[in-house]
Amino acid sequence: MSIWPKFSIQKFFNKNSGSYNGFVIALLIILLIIAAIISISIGSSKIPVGQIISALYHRDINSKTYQIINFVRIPRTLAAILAGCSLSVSGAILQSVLNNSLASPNIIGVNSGAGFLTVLISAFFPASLYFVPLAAFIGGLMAVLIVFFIAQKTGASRISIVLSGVAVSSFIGAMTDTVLTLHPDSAIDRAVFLIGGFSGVTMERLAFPAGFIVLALVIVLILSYDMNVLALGDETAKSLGLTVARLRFLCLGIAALLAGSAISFAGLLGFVGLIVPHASRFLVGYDNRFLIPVCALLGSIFTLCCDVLARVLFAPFEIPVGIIMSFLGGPFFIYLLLKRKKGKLYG
Amino acid sequence: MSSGAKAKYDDNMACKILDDLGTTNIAAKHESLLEDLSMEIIIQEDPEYIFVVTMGDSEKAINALKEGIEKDPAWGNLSAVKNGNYIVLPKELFHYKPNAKWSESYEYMAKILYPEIFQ
Repeated sequence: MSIWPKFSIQKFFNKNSGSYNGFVIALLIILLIIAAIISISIGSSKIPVGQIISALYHRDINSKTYQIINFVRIPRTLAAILAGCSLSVSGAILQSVLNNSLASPNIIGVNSGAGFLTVLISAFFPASLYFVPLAAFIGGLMAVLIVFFIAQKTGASRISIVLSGVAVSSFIGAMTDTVLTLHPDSAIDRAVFLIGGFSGVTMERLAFPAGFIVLALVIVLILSYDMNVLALGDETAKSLGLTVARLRFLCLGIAALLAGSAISFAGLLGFVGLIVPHASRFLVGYDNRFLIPVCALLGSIFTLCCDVLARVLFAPFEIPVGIIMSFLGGPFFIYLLLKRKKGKLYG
Repeated sequence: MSSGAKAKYDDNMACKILDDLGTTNIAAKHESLLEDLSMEIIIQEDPEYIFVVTMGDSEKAINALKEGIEKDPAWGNLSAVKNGNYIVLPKELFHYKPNAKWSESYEYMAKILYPEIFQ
């Protein structure tokens, strides 16, 4: 028997109290900063840290170190942070609003809808890349609304939402494949787009989606308390004075905006939107006021770490980050499922 | 999302021709089965010439590609792009097997690399 008393942070803070949640959020912010620093210091070319700092200080456009840091690593780091937090939060919103733990942007059809319009625009209007984030949002929103209405017609059970999501996703996926097959020379790399990756992002291309994502995150945080009420069930929420249909529509729209913005520059990253909300609930429970920020932070950290691996593992060549995400995320998700079966998950 | 550029080796026809004409391929310095060469390495090596063979040949696609490369700060600061040595090769000579036109393929490339010989 160990002489050390078993120390539990959760017991120490009295789990689900404000101070415990605050501790988790503070810890995640520190981890995110560390991950971002690692992501900027490590890459396929080996540059000593001192040289990085001096390059950032001198800002000499002709220095190769400065070019690598400023045009490759910083945009990539921001892209991973933005994509990770927006897809994770999108998943958390969908799971909460549809009251379905299987919901995530890729299963409900948001990804396929956004992906289809992204591919379509790049193939037929290669000059108008600025419209891609907007088009991706519209595509994602249309897909989620189709899924939602099909599910409502068939009784809105948990299973019918997932099934109609799978059906709509595969239909739209076929349309995407058709465009990619007929237009092999479009401005998109088929494999990288379908798996998801961050090579080739520029600050210029990130600007629009970044604006959308920040705006959407602010709205979600404002709505998070109402989302808690909605999760009590439609009848209860109505009796508490909530306009259920309007709130649900608004939330679906924001989920589509978040996922669509990320997909417009990162491709079809799927898994992160499913596992991060579950992992976050494991940490802070169901209260959306804490779940949403934890989800955003955890999603960013996870995506950032996966992207560092994608860049470094086979350097100087790269693999799409989606591969690493699924390799790491799959086993972790199985672990969460097994824990839940034992009745240990979610306190 | 990448711009769709793949680094090619000697098993690629255009690379073989370039190899025969005495150039060094920066991708071939790092042996791998992968084709997504990191942008960081391209900046570090800063190649003199960049040759591109497109899959399609619509003018629109090529223009969009060129415009994207010139606007992209990482690509745009490479010496090859600054000096106009970012070259889209004609598909019929470098993507399809040129058959009877092998000499034309070599000549086309040699004119770009060694213009002084042809004067």
